[in-house]
Amino acid sequence: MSENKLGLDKKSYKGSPSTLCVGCGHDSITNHLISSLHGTDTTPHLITKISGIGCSSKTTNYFVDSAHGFNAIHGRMAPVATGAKLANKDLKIIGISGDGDSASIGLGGFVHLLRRNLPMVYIVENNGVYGLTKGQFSATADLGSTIKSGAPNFFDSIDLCALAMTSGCSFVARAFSGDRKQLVPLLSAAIHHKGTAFIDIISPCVTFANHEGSTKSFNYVKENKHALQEFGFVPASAEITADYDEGDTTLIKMHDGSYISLKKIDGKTYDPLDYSLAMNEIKNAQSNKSVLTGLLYHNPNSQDFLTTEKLNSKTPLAHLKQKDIQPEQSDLDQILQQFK
Amino acid sequence: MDNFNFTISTVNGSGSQSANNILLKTLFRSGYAVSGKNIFPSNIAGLPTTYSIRVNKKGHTSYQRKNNLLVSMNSSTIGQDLKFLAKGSKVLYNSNLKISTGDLSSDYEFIGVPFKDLARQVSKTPNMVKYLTNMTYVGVLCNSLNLDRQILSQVVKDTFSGKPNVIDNNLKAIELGFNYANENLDYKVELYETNKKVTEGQILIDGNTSGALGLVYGGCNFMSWYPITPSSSLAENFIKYSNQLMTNENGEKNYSVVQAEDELSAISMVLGAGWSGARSITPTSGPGLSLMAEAAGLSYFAEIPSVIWDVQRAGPSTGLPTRTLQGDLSTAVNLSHGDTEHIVLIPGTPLECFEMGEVSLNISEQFQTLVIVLSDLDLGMNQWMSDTFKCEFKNWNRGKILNSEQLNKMTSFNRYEDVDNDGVCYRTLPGTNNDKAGYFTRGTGHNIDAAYSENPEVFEALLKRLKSKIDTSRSQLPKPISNDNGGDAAILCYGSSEPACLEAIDHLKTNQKLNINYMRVKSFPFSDEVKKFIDQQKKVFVVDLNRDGQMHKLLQSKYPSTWDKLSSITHFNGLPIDAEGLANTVYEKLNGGLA
Repeated sequence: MSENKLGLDKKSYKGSPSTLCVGCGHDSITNHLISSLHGTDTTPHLITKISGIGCSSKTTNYFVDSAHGFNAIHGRMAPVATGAKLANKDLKIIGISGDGDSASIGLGGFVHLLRRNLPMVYIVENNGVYGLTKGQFSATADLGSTIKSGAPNFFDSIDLCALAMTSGCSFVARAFSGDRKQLVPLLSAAIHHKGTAFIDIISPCVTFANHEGSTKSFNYVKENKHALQEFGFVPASAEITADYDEGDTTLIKMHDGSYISLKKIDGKTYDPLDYSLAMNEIKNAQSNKSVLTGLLYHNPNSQDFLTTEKLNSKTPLAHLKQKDIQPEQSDLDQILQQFK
Repeated sequence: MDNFNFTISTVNGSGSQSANNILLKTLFRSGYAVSGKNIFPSNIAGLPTTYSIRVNKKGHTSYQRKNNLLVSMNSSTIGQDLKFLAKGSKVLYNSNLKISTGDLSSDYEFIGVPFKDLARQVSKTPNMVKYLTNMTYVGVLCNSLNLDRQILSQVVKDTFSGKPNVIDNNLKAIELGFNYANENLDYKVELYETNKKVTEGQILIDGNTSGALGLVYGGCNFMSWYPITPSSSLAENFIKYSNQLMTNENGEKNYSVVQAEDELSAISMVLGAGWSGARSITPTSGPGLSLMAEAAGLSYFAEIPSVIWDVQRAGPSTGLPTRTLQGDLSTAVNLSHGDTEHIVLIPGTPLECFEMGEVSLNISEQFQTLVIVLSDLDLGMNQWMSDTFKCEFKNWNRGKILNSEQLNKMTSFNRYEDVDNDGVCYRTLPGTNNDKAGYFTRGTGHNIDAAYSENPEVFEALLKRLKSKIDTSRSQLPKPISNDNGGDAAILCYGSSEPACLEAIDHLKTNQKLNINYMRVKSFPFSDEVKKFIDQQKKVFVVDLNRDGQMHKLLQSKYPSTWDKLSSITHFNGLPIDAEGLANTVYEKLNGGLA
């Protein structure tokens, strides 16, 4: 097994064995994430895994065993991640949530985290059903799709990518758990993004949503997915080699000097910096019930929450010492003057 | 007069708060023991509001409903306001308003003052006239109460510091009021002779500001909050003072405050930050406390330090958002589903709010659990006389946190192993550079290594350890204060009802020759002193500002053997409890039972 720049092999990024159903899309995502964390030379002890409740949220236990993990309560991954990151700016937060966790019970927290642009990777493992409670519709299930018993869904789905965009998210992508080639570089870019990188990963539930009427089954997604571009990630340390054809491939520089490469598919251009275009494409795909994958929208110039907060850029709050920061009695005396 | 209580009746949004605070502070600086109670509506402008100021020679500061003077600036409430005016008292009313005093009781003497006309002599701008009208009654009262005009001017200057025009206009309005009273009114109140010693070294401050300062000096560096009356000013003051005192040389913050989207997120952020190593708190009030219930259980069960500072208002439901009660005690003690029991701290004075700023954080980190501070609206938002604050916070107790070096010396690290046999386990912070450091925090059942476990014995052992841990905390929590002179009975109270209880005890001694012992509880689980004190009493009247006698019930359930000694006295109309009523109740109960 190859070692990364930290001298670690992929095993160092593995976690406890999964207890999910055999063939679950979530397990594929976990494997792709392990590849990305390893491939991007991410320091294991700084990785902080945070999740809510549900099948997806269990997966934080299945990667980087040596890192701290926090399997919180239903719908609260976003605020727990917010507190954890503000207390220690050095942490690399990987947040894993599900469609129930983020599109229903945790919707408020999801939207507001994106507004603030907290630096983290926010992954929703989206299967359109509540798996742990045995197959009820979630809010991302498409209108007209059915649950296992055959009952149809009467409501429009919440498109998390559209919602992320209207909430000010600066990195919005959609992917398919079965597409390793696209997902690994997408996750790698997300890890390097300075702000919230949101990826909505369609991840079929083999037990409750892999049937004919589901629009999130393996077969449906395979047949109806359309990649916007061939997505690549080039770390800052790597040289950009010659085989990028300027007419064919666009490079976007990230804050740390790494690059996103976007190669046209079938000669079609897609500019992820164009907000209106992205919104249109998402809406069209939603109407056509097709699954649009790739980097939908990117704003490389957004300001992240730590910058907005003007947080101590040297020492994490968690490590500040009383002797260094406790104000003086004389300051207190001065303040109390006005109460005399 | 040794005791003088007067009420200014206005409509909210008229700017009367500045005028009332100026009056209160002028009396305070003159050496009077004062208290000010703002009884305000849940509204921004246009509804009745009253402000009562009391001076008392003995230093009693509890809320007194009966007034010796009414300043009526609101024609619509004068009938109601008169109900609480002592017979024979004066009413200074705004004669620019249409008040037909002819219809009102002849028990009072009505004195019309054209407050608004006086204000118009300073400014013609309607908004200014509105504010300055209030200042003219300050001037009139300065004359009638024979206040020191120099002290008053200085208070005005301090209040509007940096705004010379505002100072100038306000001083003019005061002057006009003063002169009007001098020339037209024959109303003088002979207050008692002041004793500067009463107010020497004292400050006049509210509990929310005090708590905010205590948090800054106590090392709070993460706050998340959702605005809610009456706790918002705690957060706002924390923002103000930490911005002033907790930034580094580059102007970067050594703290973080997030205004959350709701209380679910507010407490969850606090848990994330507490887990990650910040000293974290969320201020809230009743409805917010209810929303935080699920996360409270997580804090307890996964052993994550967190603090909720609940400034109680009158519930249930939205209740009376701007009135005071101690109705959250039962909820706080067992907040969340399943078996929980939380540490609760109950400040009774601004100084204790200041001290509990540090203590709450220390206890939460020491015991790795949720601490709930129960303040209330009366303590949090009204001005109280207090000893000045000294920062004696020498040790921000971070509890049992292992760093990388310490981990190196250990053969293994198990997050939930009770190594010291005191119920409190060692934790590591995310980001610790050591292979042994990582663990998996969860709200699900877990073994000592923090792995998921449904093992019956493991689960039972965990719940037992948590119980013993909280129980052990008792000896480390703020002790009750007590005064036992071998009296006939005792009053036991908590929080903001202390001034009324002490005054009632004084009242019973003076008027009934009854000797009443006293205890004020400051924390839960109760320290051993509470049981000892109760055991020594013949009868204990437990004073609760809630309908169900929540403290009374809690004491009975913790100390079943004392149940027949404990007698519940409740007060729950949303106003602070008054001493006279309390003294009467105690007297009646004693004569009915003990006599």
